[in-house]
Order: sequence, then structure tokens, then C-alpha cells
Amino acid sequence: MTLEYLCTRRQFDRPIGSFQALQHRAVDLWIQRSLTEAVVAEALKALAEGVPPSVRSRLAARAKARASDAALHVAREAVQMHGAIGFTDEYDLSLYVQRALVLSAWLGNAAQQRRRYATLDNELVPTGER
Amino acid sequence: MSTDWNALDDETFRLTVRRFFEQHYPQHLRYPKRRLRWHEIKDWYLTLYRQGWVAPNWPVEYGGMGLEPNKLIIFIEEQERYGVGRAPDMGIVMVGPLLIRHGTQAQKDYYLPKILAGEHIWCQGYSEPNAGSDLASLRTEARLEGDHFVVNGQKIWTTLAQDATHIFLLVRTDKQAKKQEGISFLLADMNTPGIRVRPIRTLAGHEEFCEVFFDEVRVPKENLVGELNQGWGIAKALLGFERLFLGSPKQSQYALQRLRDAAVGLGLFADQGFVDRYVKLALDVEDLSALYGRFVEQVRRGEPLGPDVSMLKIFATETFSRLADLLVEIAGTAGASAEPLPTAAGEVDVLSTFYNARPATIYGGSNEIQRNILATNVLHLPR
Ligand SMILES: Cc1cc2nc3c(=O)[nH]c(=O)nc-3n(C[C@H](O)[C@H](O)[C@H](O)COP(=O)(O)OP(=O)(O)OC[C@H]3O[C@@H](n4cnc5c(N)ncnc54)[C@H](O)[C@@H]3O)c2cc1C
Repeated sequence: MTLEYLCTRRQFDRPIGSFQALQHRAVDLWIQRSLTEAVVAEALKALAEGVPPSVRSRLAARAKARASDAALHVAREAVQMHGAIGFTDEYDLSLYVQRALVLSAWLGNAAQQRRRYATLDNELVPTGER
Repeated sequence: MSTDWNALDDETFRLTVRRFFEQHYPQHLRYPKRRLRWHEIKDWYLTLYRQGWVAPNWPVEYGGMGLEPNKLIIFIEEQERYGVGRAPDMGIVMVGPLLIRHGTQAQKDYYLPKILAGEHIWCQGYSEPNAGSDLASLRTEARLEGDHFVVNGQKIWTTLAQDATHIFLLVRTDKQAKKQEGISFLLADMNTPGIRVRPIRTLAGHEEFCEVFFDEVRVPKENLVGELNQGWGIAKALLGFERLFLGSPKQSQYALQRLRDAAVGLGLFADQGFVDRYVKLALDVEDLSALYGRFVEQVRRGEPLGPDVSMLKIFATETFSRLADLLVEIAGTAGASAEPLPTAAGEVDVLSTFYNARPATIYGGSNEIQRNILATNVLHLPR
């Protein structure tokens, strides 16, 4: 949706998507999305292969942490790249932003998931140090 | 000698490689802080050669191990795990695959065995003072005179050129053509009269790259790789591999380990503020591995890498850089010191991690250039 907007909205006689400042930020959002896909795919594959519950919880926490962060990051930047129209209730972007907010917080936001991950992974944070 | 490595199961292969590194790699060269010079790593290179392991990526028929991508990854992972230093490996990583694909029979017969045996050390002559990101604007020229090319111009940032016996370079062979279409790929002996090398000291204080000057250098015509004026396409095909290689999580995994050692030494795992930041970075490294694994899978299925592989290089090098930043930060005053930080897990060299993170976002196509590629070729944003 935002990519399409970047190609169609024109200012200064050019599509705003031709401005490098926006291009590079769009790329960073896309990288976060791709990372989320990779992590979720890895988790699903492990689940399908059957892994012990402890590993399952860890994978879930890790996937949720990445997905929550990515969703909020994309949502915030999408509003910015749309300008004022992105801040309206009427425009469909608002649905996605509200949804990202809810889903990110639901069942533990990214920061909470990361703390959970740390308690689930004995190797990550050296024991005896906590 | 010609074991079918790919027939071994992954775990057996991993342990075989691990045991060999543990038995044969010199202890004092583990986890080097900078690129090792040829005289320092030569013995190890020859050990690998005798073992038949010096070219894990080459097909068996050319003297390589013929590893499939997943085995190659394991090989690289084990090197990294044990802190095996990188030898001047341009011959193995770039020239070999290049000649196997585009070289003449005579070129293959002559060069490949000498690369394996460590008789020829190669360096990469692409960049010039006025051709960096815009590499296609390069001006070092080669004019054909009888059965020689005569080369004039200058290359720069040539890694370890002072140790190299040979250089592969991009030269302009047609000044009238569009800039990408007048470039050819040449091989040259560094001992040819007219080649002069001047080392350049890096920010980290090491002579790691050089300027290479060419003054009426006569290069035999048969040293052309591929067709005349087709060098750009050949060079670009090689960059795909480079980007996967540069996107490997190994540097970040190593930096994370150093960060962890330092944090243990400084008692920082009792500090929730630190732990939160540390775990976030640890997850970045894990997720980077997942992303890397996807591209590796793609290679394993025999699919070519598309322009989207650029994202791997961006995320890998920037994760590495964030790790280095946090390491410098927690080191406090010691973060500005050339002295390593003593910790229970051994010494942690803070500054070398920081220094190593700097060029990673510049070479192999800077991260800005990678973002341009992604914006245009993957997201299809307007120019
Ligand atoms: C440690 C090290 C080793 C190297 N080894 C070799 C080697 O062995 N052989 C070799 O040939 N080369 C080597 N290089 C050179 C490397 O390939 C170049 O540094 C690289 O291509 C960038 O070129 P440049 O340094 O001229 O920077 P420039 O191209 O001048 O770029 C300067 C800055 O401008 C930015 N920039 C440029 N164009 C754009 C654009 N269109 N949009 C946005 N930003 C832009 C860049 O991202 C960068 O931040 C090495 C470099 C380093 C650091």
C-alpha cells in the first residue's frame, strides 16, 4: 500500500518514491518484513519437524519479538510516508496501524518476548550472573 | 584423496572438519585481529593444500572439494568457530570460479593448479581513485598492440596487493562505447615491468590495502578473460557470490561472543538494562542466520541469486556494527584504548572489533548502493 503510494503521489513534479531518503527507509522496512518471514518460516519448519516444548517456546518468543517490532516499525513509517492522509481515520492505512498496535501488544510485545526468550535460553545469558 | 564429502552426513562432515582444524591450525593465529599477511598464514594454506581442502568451493575435477552449498556453509562455520584466519584467498574465492566458468582451457591448465599450490597469490584490481561506487566509470585503459595489451592507469584500495603475485583487473578497452560496454577483464603478473605498488595504512593502523600503478604495462593478449569488452558482465556475475559471502552471520556471531565475554568480565549480566540490549542484538544475529539460511537454501536448489540478496549484506554488516558499538560503549574508557580488555574468558579486543565493522559497510558495494539496488530492482520505486 505504501509502495504504491510512493509511486503515485507526486510532489516537486516527481513521484515521492524517487526521493532517496524515502527509498532507503522503504528498503529498511522491507528488510524487516523479510526477516520476519525468515524467522516465522524457520519456526514453522521446526514445529513441523517436531521439536521439544522448550525449543518451541523459544522459537515462538523469537518470532513474535521480530514480528511485533517489524509491524510497528512499518506502521509508523507508513503513516509518515503518506503525510497527512496517513493520519486520517478514513484512509485504510488506519486499519493496519490499529491492527499492528493491537497484535504487537497481544500476548506480549516485543520487549516482553525478548525477556521471555532470555529466560528460556539457558545459554544466552550466562547463569550465575543474573 | 577424492573423498565424496557430500556423501557424508552433515554431522560427520562437521566433526571431521572440526577435528582437522583443531589438530592442525596454529594456536597463535586463532581469531586474528586483522587480515593476516601471506608470510604469516602461508604454512596453513599449504597444510590445507596437502589435505586437498584449500578450495572447498571448486569442483573436484579441478582439485577442489566440490562441496555442495550446505557442506560449504558447514566448512565456513567451522573455520569461524575455531577462529581460523582468512588467507589471501582471492584466487580461491574469485579467480578460480571465474576461470572455471569463463576461462580458456590454457588459462585453466596454467592458473588453477598454481592457485591451489599457493604459488600464485591474487589481488582484485577493480576500484580506482575516481571509480568507486560508480565502478563502470573506471579509466585504467588497455590498448591492443600486436599480441599484447598495454595498460596505463591506477587502481586503489587493492587488498594485500603487496603480497600478491598476480592481479585481476577491469580495464577500459573501448572509450567510445557506453561505459559498461567498453570494459574488459584482464589477468596480469605483478612482476610485469611498469607495475608499482604502494601500501596504504588503514584507520586501524595496518597496511591492508594498496595503490597499484600501471605505466605502459605489457600484458599478453591471451590473458584476456572472456570476450573483449565483455568484462563488466563477468565481473557482475562474480559479485552475486560476494554478496552472499558478505552477508554471512559469522562476523556478527563472533562479535556477539566477544560482547558476551566482555559483559561477563564486567559483571553486566546483572544489569537488566544491558541484558535487554544484549538480547535484542542476540536475536538480530539469530534472525540474520535465518535470513541467510533462506538464501543458502536457494543456492542449494540451484536457483540463481536475485538482487534481493543485497538485503543480507545490509543487515549482516549493520548488525555487526551495532554489536561493535555496544562493545565500545560497555568498555567505557577502555573503549578508546588499543589495549585489549582483560576478562575471565580471556582478552577481548574492543577496538579491533570496532575497526573491522567500519569497512564492512563500504566494500562489496556500500550499503547505500545496496539500498539503491533494492529500491529500484526489488521494490520497483521510480528513479
Ligand atoms: C577494507 C577495504 C578493502 C577493499 N579492497 C578492495 C580490493 O581488494 N579491490 C578493489 O577493487 N576494491 C577494494 N575496495 C574498494 C571498495 O570496493 C570501494 O571502497 C567501494 O566500491 C566504494 O567506493 P569508494 O570508496 O570510492 O566510495 P564512493 O563511491 O566515493 O562513496 C562515498 C560515499 O558515498 C556514497 N554513495 C556513492 N554513490 C551513492 C549513491 N548513488 N547513492 C547514495 N550514496 C552514494 C557511498 O555509499 C559512500 O558512503 C576495498 C575497500 C575497503 C574499505
